[in-house]
Amino acid sequence: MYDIPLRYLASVFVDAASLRATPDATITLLERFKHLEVLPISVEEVGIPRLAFSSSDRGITVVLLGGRFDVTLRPLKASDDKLPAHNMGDFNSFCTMAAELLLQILDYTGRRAHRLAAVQEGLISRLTADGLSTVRQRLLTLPQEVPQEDVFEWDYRFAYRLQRTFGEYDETTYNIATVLRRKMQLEEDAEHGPKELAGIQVGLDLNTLPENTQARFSSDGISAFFASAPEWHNDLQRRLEALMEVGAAHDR
Amino acid sequence: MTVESPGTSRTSTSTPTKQTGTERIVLKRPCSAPTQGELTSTSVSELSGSAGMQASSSAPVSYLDAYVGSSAPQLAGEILSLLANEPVETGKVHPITDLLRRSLQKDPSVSALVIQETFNVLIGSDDGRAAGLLRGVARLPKTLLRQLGTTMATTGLASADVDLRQAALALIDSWGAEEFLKLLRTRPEPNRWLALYSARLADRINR
Repeated sequence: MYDIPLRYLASVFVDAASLRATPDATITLLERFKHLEVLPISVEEVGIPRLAFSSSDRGITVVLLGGRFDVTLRPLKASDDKLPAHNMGDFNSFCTMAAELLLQILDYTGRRAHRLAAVQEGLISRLTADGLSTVRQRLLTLPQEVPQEDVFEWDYRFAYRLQRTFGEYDETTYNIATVLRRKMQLEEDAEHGPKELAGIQVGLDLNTLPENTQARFSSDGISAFFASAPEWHNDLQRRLEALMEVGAAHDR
Repeated sequence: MTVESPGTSRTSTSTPTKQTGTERIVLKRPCSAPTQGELTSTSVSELSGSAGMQASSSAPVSYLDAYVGSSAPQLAGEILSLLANEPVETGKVHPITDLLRRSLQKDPSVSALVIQETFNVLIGSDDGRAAGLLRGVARLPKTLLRQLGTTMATTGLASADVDLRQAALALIDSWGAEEFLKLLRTRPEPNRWLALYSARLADRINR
């Protein structure tokens, strides 16, 4: 659907308010994450130091906050300047990698998750003006007095509940799609300055409900969630794509 | 690549914007000194960690993206340049200390971010300059950047480079950083002199 991935995120929600960044905890986790070649970074959550790691070479960030553990992958600039960036890979591979990392963190911290989430965001950058207009018309009904072609920003979002089964769990999930029209600049480097992009940002967020705070997800359950998440995302993506007629609007 | 955090890009009279109606996407070049917008980490005082009652589980991105459009590139360049001109040696005054102090007093968040990112970029690629930067940080009062200094010293201790581990111990010594006590006692130190220094330091902090 999108041609430039902007962010992949995998999260487990936990009660880890008492977990703080200490030198020994940092070094222990650093050892566990050796294969990722990450380094500790300083993150504070309302004045509380939290464990966090980042790799400038791979675009990975791992943050252990008081209420959630996040693994994020962001694109790096490729040496050949081509997009999408070489480090992102597909969402499926990310989910596999992130699930393994999150399970290691849960094991180390002795926490059990009560909520799981898989999120991806990307940019559809190669749309013509007509293509953008088509997408907007499919998604939004604007007041008549608004000059339609002058609308340069808009938000579209829907969320619905859906019962999903993964591993031994039968859970209600939130399924959220977001489409944002923005004026964007791609800042490739300081020498050449920013490049204008006529794009729309798409976000897909699939997560279990926040209301159930019982720490209930086993390792197998977490693995099953992140193994299924890419297909759930694909399904949501297909529905959104059909609605937006983005295939027809695309100039490729 | 980062995208400015949600809420800062809308064309809205109620939301302060740096660039009205424009989101800036920044491609981060791997293994390079930080330049504007390439920063991937920071310490923040207010980080809303939970999606709470909302349907969305998307994490706030502000801790990654808050400092696009700052004076970061200039400071990073100055740090690297000063460290290249002259090594930071024990007992000798070095201009890096004054630069770090001034920048941290002027713009604490961005400066801390730049110092950290510069340090992490140097780790593995130029451990000598990374050690110099750590020594420079060790000469600052710990109240100025305690959390970052602790993180940097931890990184230094975990390094295979002797100079970096020594610089990390120098920071712990200078700050009397008691949070390192357990690590000083349990961490295996292959270098005999540093092992001795580490043990004495642990005793001193404990007293």
